[in-house]
Amino acid sequence: MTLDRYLRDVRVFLPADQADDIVNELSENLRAQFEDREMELGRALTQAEQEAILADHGKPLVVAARYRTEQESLAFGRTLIGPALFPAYSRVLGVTFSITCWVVLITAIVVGDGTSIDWEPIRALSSLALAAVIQFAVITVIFVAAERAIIADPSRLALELGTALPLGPRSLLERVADQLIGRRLGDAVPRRTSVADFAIVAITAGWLLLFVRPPIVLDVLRSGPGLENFHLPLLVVIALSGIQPVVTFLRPRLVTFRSVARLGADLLILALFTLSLSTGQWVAPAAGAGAGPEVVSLASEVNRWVGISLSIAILITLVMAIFELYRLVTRLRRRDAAAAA
Amino acid sequence: VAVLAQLREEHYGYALRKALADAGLDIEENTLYPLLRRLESQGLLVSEWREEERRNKRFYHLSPDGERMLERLRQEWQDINTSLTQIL
Repeated sequence: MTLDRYLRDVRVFLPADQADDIVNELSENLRAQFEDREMELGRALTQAEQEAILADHGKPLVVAARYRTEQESLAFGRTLIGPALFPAYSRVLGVTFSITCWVVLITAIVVGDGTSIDWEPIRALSSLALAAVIQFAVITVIFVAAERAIIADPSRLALELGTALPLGPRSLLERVADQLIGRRLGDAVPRRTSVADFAIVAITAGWLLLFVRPPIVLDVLRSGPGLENFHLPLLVVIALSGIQPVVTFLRPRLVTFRSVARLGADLLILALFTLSLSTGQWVAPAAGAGAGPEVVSLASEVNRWVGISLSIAILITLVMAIFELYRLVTRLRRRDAAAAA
Repeated sequence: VAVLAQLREEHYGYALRKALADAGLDIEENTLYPLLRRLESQGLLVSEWREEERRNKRFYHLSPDGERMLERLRQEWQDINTSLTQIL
């Protein structure tokens, strides 16, 4: 990690009105420390030596937390999320809720007639409220667990979180992508990462094969074209993406191959999801169930929820694809620069 | 007390830390730098950005309030020290 990157990560957690001032001062102090060390050694510091000083200084989240005068926390009787993690917690909640609002809005347009938001306000609000409650519960549980782990072993997880959770305008999505598509890789793909990749592919393919295989007939509903036409292509893409972890398990240094393969799979899945979303019909009234208003209404409701879920999946896949591309381009540029040097 | 006493002379963050370490009091950067800002916000220190060795640095020194506070803390410290010396 370079000094600039380190300072950028610290800035993310600082109070906005003081961030520039604190970062400037911190930057000068750290540069003075670098220079001091260089004078001792009689030479310029290597990247590793600079990183060691930064690591010694503390992880960004922990450093920034010390500058916060307000000590916000989440407590029910006892403190569940302490002041060190609370800023990150509140930001994650804010960002995910904003994304949900956009997804609900976009879904309303896409699933509607495409020209107007054909949605009852109360229904839209209930969708939002449900999503907000689920998000609040999931995110809170994650952060409470992280807080417990910090108390149990502050030197390990508390410091690790300092680089795992910075949430700035740029690093937010970058770090979210890191969490979604695997941690930043060095010169080799760790074998445990390949095993995890393969497990995810196997579980997804197994789920598609065993539980979501059309034609599905459930009581008065049956699977529609949005599911039937795209199930097999999706299964094939998922199965093919299982090749990548096998290859990187055998040849861990093929980091670029992993990025290219994942990017390709993400784009194909994105295309299939988008085509499926455009049908708007994943279930339909089953033959013989009649087309009474209750069955039609039920099918419409199920399709609406599948549409929302698929929109969220599209958004997540898109973010993953963008950052896999970003990671790939960054890696190739770095390689070119190293070759030129 | 140590920080206030050391800042009777002007220092910037890293130089202050070194001065304290040389005096036998090794304070972590993560503790010292935020502490300086808090002391300043309480009016005990004043700071200014100034160029030194072609770099902008933030120099801190004791304010008049800081001097009075240092004197009070020094007196308290001496009283405690005297009491403890008698007890021990």
